[in-house]
Amino acid sequence: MLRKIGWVARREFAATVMTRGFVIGVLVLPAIIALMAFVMPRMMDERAPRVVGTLAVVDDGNAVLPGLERELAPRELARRRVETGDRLRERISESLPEAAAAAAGATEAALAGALAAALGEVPDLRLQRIGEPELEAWKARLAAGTGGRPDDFGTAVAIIAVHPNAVVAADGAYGAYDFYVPPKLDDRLQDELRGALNRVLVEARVAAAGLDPGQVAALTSVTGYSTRVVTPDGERPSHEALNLLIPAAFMGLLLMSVMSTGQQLMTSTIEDKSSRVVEVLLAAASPVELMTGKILAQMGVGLLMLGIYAAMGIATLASFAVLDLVDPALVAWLVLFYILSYTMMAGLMGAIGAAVSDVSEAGALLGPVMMINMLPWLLWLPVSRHPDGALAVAMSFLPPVNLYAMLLRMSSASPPPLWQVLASTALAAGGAVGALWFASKVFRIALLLNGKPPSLRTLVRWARMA
Amino acid sequence: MDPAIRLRAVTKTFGDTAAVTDLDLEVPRGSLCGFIGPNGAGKTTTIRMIMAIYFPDRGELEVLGRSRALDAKDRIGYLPEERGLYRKMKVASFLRFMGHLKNVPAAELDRRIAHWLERVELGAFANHRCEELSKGMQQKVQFVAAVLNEPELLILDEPFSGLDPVSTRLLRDLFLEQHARGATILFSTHQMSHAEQLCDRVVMIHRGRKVLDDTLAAIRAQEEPRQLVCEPLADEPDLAPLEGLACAAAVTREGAAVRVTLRAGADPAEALSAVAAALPSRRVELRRATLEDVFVGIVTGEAPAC
Repeated sequence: MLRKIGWVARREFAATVMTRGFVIGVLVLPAIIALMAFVMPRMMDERAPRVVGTLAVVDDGNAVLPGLERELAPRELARRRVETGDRLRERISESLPEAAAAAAGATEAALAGALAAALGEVPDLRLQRIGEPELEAWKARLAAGTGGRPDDFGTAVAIIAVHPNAVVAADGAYGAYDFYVPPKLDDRLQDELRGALNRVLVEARVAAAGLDPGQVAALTSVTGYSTRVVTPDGERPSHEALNLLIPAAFMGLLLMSVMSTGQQLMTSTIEDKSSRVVEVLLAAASPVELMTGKILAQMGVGLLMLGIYAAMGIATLASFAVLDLVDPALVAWLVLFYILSYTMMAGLMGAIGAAVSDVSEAGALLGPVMMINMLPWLLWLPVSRHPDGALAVAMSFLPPVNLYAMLLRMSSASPPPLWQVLASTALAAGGAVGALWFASKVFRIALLLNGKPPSLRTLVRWARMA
Repeated sequence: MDPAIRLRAVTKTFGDTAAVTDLDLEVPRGSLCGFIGPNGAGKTTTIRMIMAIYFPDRGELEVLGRSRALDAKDRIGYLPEERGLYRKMKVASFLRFMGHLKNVPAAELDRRIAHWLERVELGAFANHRCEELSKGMQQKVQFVAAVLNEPELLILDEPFSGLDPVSTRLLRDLFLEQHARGATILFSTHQMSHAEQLCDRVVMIHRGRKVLDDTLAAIRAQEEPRQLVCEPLADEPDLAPLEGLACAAAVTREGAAVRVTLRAGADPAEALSAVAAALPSRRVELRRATLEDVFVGIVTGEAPAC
């Protein structure tokens, strides 16, 4: 029996791997990642349309308008953008290794350029003080839209209505302001306007309280800090972005391998059936031998893909000297989790492949399976952010997605206790055995049946009667 | 000696449809058994159960002394009705794969592949992809896959369908050769003439039930001839004397010959003399019942018209 399984697996593996399609398929993912890293910063070179117009300000006490005019002067806006760029660059270089940032096209010059482009051109705003009675008329102008000539200062960009107690507290409470914007105003400009107004308000309040604004600013701002990770081998910079990306990379790798090989198994089973070679094979091997051989072959294909991608990932991390971010034990767990997750998926996909006569018929049966496979992507952020949360723990024990959740938790900053890992693995192993049982029953009945494609309920009925 | 195949009260249903019902069957070792019946009679389902591709709902099954064909698959050759190959595989690679699956000794495998490809006149196509072969050529490759393991039992399901007369003759000679080697052959067909020419034993099923199971000689012996065929000397013979015979139920022209269907109870020997006397002929003979006559008779519930 094992010999026949081996021969079926060998042929299937060779038929999958020794094709141009497989080689191209394996190279496509790293090529896309490299392309995105290279192209994305350049794609961000789309400049936001330059905004020209009037910002109406209701400021009865004239407490904020002068400061706002200063803050929103084109030269001041440009200076702030450069400062923002510097801060962002500083954070990125803290989170990502320098080499990685450079590799992503984020060299200093490129980053500065990209950031400037991302933030858009400096707006040219004329500030106009208006009275409370004029507010409704200006709102009507806003509602009419911002579309006018590019140099049209008659266009209303936004309205700021400063509360009377925004600078000097009334009854012990400070007011703020109302910010009116047209339906489509660049969100980056809105942030700049709000930021400028907030700073001006704080400054005005500090001055009104008789304090030195410069001193208060110095006291309330902290800059120049750094985060260092202390390891047994010494200190190193913190790579926060990588800490978030690595669990996602592990889960993505697992999901991609499982999905692509599961799909391949289904397609190959359908091909065997539609080309009618299946009965010739059944003359020499049992349905279970055939199914097991095919499943093992695609498992081998998946392990080969995992090996290739893992080697590429390790080589990349090693070249950036951040290999210590990956726990070698996690790689071993990844392989084990792949085998179990794939087997669960293979049971379903193999059964679907055996039940239908061509790929187009598989759609209805594939729908629920695809929905299950979307779950891990939905889980990524909630589980990564709260690896000990109720959702993360619950999903860790719900086959067939439990191992994706478990892998995310294991690669997070707060890994689960070993008993949970073992229990989840045991559950997945049980799920894998169940899926194989289901597939073998469906294989026995459906492999030579043609005609109307069965429903999921029919598949379950076949499994029970076989 | 145990029969090569033994089925006892085997039943198989698909949903509400009974494909095979209480089928008893014994195929003696060394026999060449025709498995006949109309389309949809249950032949392929029975063969698939024998091959352990389907499993019966009820009944017992024994193949080459084993209770499961799975345990004897390496000793069986099977040419299914639904044929297919791995289209992208080369002919020799496909046969090598099938040989491995059937546990053909590795040292023997290439020699046997080369030998059989020559026998089916495909020696030059060993390194061609299967998809490059014509349908008939593909069928020959499948036959080679079926006999590569020198099987004790060879099951052929409609082996001649889609073949031209030359290929049909070649394949027929090859499987008769396998029979001469000592292999038991179960040969399914809905073409009675093929079974009549080749088989020494016939099993007939209809609507999933066995309706006939005997040697061809015994079947023929049971069927009393009911027709006379004569070849008149005259080009335009007068058939009135024949039509006036008491033993004649009907008289019909068949080209240059005349067929006389006898009344029930008429003695064939007396009828032979009466027909010869009534119509001067080059030849007068009693026509033996063909398998087709027997089959039609069984299926329609009428006696064979011979």
